[in-house]
Amino acid sequence: MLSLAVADAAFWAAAMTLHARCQAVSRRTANAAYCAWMLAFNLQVLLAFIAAGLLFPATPPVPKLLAAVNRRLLPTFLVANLLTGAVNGAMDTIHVGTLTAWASMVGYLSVVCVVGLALDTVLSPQSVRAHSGTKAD
Amino acid sequence: MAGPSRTRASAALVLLCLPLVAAAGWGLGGGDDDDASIARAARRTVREAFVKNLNGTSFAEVSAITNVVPLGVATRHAIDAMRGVRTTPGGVAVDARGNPLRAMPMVCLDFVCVVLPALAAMLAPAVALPTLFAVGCAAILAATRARARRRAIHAGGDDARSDDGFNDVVATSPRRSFLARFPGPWYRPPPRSADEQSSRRPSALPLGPLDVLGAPRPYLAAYRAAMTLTTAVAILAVDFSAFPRRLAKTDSTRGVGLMDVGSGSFVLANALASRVARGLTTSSPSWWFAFWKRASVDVSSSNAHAGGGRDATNDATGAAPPERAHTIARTLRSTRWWSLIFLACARGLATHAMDYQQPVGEYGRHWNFFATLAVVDLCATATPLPPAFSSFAGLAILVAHQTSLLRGASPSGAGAAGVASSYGEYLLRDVPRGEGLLEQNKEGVGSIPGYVALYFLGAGLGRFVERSLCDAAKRASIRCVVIFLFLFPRVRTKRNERFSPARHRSVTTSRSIARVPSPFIESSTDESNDPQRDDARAERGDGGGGSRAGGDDRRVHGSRTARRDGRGGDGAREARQRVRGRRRLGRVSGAFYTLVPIRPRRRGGRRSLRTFAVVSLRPPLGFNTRPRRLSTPPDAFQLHPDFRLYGTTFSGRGGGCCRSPSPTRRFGRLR
Repeated sequence: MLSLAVADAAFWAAAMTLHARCQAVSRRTANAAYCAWMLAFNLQVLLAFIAAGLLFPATPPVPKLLAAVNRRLLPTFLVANLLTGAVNGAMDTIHVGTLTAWASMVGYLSVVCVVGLALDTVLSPQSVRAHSGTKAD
Repeated sequence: MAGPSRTRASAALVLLCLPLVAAAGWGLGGGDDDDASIARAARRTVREAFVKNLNGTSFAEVSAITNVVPLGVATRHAIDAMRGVRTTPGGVAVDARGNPLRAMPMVCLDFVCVVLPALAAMLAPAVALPTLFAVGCAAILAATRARARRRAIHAGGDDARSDDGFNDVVATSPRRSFLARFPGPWYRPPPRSADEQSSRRPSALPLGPLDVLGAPRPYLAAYRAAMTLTTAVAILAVDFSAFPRRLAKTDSTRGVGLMDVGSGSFVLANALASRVARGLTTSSPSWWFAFWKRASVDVSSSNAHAGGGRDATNDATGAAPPERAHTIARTLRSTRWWSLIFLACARGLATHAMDYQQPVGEYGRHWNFFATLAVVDLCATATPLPPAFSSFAGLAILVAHQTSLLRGASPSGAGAAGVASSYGEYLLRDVPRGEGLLEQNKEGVGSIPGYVALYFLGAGLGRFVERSLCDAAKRASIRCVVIFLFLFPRVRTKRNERFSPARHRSVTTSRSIARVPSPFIESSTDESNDPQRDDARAERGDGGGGSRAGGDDRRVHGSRTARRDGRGGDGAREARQRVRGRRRLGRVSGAFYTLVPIRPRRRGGRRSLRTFAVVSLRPPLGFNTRPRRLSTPPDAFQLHPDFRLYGTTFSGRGGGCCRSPSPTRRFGRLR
C-alpha cells in the first residue's frame, strides 16, 4: 500500500511537471502529460477503492449493482450512450430547468442500472453471480 | 467462450440493437420535414456552441469529484457494517441474524450510495462536494464505532456462553481470524466443513485471495463498474445547463476537464484488468523462445505461446496451458473485440442518424472512442511482449509519441496561419481538414500511439499493484508471526503448541498432558496453579478404571479443592461428570473430543477478568445475589400499616402494594 501511494505521488509529480513544462494536457493527442495524469488519477482512485474495501473487511466486497455492471460493462455503456441520444432527441436539454434536469438524470440512471442488472441476470450463470467479486472474462 | 453463452450474448446484442434501429428510424424519418430539420439544425448549432471552447478546470477538482464514488462505496460498506451484514463462506450476504439479504433493497441502496452522489457532485459541485464528504466520513466513523461495540458484545457473549461449564474454548478470537486472513506456512487454518472447503473463501479479505496471483480482485471490479457508471452519468449530464461548463470535455486544444478522464480511464481499466496485469501470463525468458518457435512453425495456430501456469514447463512439455495470452488470432476471435467494433459502428450510425452534436475535432469525422478502444486492444494484444517489459514498452512508445508531437514545434505555438508547425499542431488544428479518410479522422488515428502507450503502462501498473499487494500480505503475516513469537514465548515453549493467545492460556487442550506419566503431573501440580492438570487427572481417574481408582484421584484433587473452596470432593465429581458427558457426546458423534478444563475458582468467582463486576457484559442475573434480604418478597413486610414510617425500606421501588393508599386493599392481603 505504501509503495502504491509513493508511486501515485510520483505519477502526480510527473503529470504536473509535464503539464507545466513540456506540453499541456491534451486528450485529443493523448500526449505524455495526459498519460501521466491518467496514471496518477486512476491509481489514486484505485487506492481509494482498495481503502474502501479494507475499512470493512467483513461486508460483501463489491456492491451488487457494481458487480453486475462490471460483468456487463460494454452493453451497459452502450445502453447509456443510446439513452443519452434518446433523451437529447426528446427534450431540449439546454433550456430545461434544474429540477427537470435532475429528474431526467435520475430516471436515465435508474434505467441504465436496471438494464445492467437485467443483462447480468439473464446472461450470467447463478454460480458467477453468487461470488460477487468474480470477474467474468 | 462456450456455445450457449455465445448464443445468449448474440441474443443480447440483438436485443440491444432494437432501440438503436428504432432510434435511427426515428431520426431518419423525422428528417423529411423541412421545418423540423431546420429547427434541429438550429438546435444542433446551439448545442455545439454549448460544448465548445471550454478550457477545463484543475486537477484537484476533477479528483475531488471523482473520489465521491469510492467514498460512496465506502459508505455503502459502512451501512452494511452498521447493519451487521457479512458474507458467509459460500459467498451469500447475510444480515446480522443470518438471513440472506434480499437483492432489491441492496441494489437500491447501491444506487443511492454510489450513483446518485456522482450525479450530485457533477450537477452541483459547490454544494454537494462538502456535504457528500461530510456525510460519508460520518457514516464511516459511525460504522467503525458500531463495529467496535459489536465486537465487545460478541466478546462478552462468548464468556456468557462459557457459563454452561465446558465450552470455554471460543472458536474465533479476533487474533486468530486476523491470522487466518493471511494464510502461509506458519499458519494452518482450522479444518473446514465440506461446504466451506468447496468455495475458496471468496471474501476472506476484500482484496481477494492474496496468495494467488491473478485472482479476482474485488476492488478492480468496483473500480471498473464505478468508472463506467460515472461516465454514464457524465455523458448525459453534460447536455444539461446545470452541469458546470468547466467540467465538460475541453474542446479547445488543451486543458483538464472532468470528462477528459473518461477515455483514458477506459483504456486504463482495460489494461488493469488484462491478463498481463493480473499476472496470468508468465514472464520467463522461455516465453520468448516458445513464442518464436511456435510462430515460426505455424503462424495460424500460434496462440498458445504463453503458458498460463506460473512455470514455463507447460510450454516445454507442450501440454495445453490452462490460460493463454492474447494474440491477434485470439483477439480477432474474441466476442469482446467484436462487440467493441459493433459498438463503434453503432455509435457512429446512431450519432449520424440522430444528428447528435459530435464535435468533429474530438476524434474526427467518422472515428469514435469505441474504435480507439478496439484498435488499442488489437495493437496491445498483438505485440509479443513479456509482461515484465510492458511498462518499459509503454514508456518507450510514449516518449516516441511525445517527441513526434513536439518535433518542429515553434515556441509561439503557431497554427493560426493554417500551416501546422509540428505534428502535434497538425493534430490539434481544426479548420483546414483534408479530404482523405485518414485526414478526416486524424485526431482519432493520431492519438492511438498515446493510448497504446497508456495501455502498456496500465498493464505494468496493474502488475505492480498486484505484486505489491501480495508482498504487503506476506509482510503483514510475517510481522504478525514475529509479534506472536515475541509476545507468547512462554506459551510456545511450555505447551509445545503451535500458538496460544493469552486468553486461551488457561483453557487450551489437555489431551497431550493427559498422556504424560502421572508422577510428573503430581510433582508439578503443587507448584503451578495450572487447572489443566486437574482435569487431565480427572479424566484418567475416570477412564482408567481399575488401574487408578477414583479414591486416589479424589485424594489429590479433593484436597486441592478443599483447600480452595472448602467443598470437599465436589470439584472432582463435577469434573468426572463433565468428562462422562463428553464421552457420551464423543460416542454419539464419533468425533475426537478435546478436554477443556475450567479453572478452579471460588463459588461465584469470576471466570474471566472480563466479567469483572464493573465492566461485566453478561446479562444480569434474575435475582440480586448480594443484598440477600431484598430477595425476600416485599409482601412480607407489608403486614404493618405504618411500616413506611420506619423508613427502612425502599419506598420508591416498593411495588404497587406499598403505594396503594387504600387500607382495604392493604388489609385484604392479610386474609
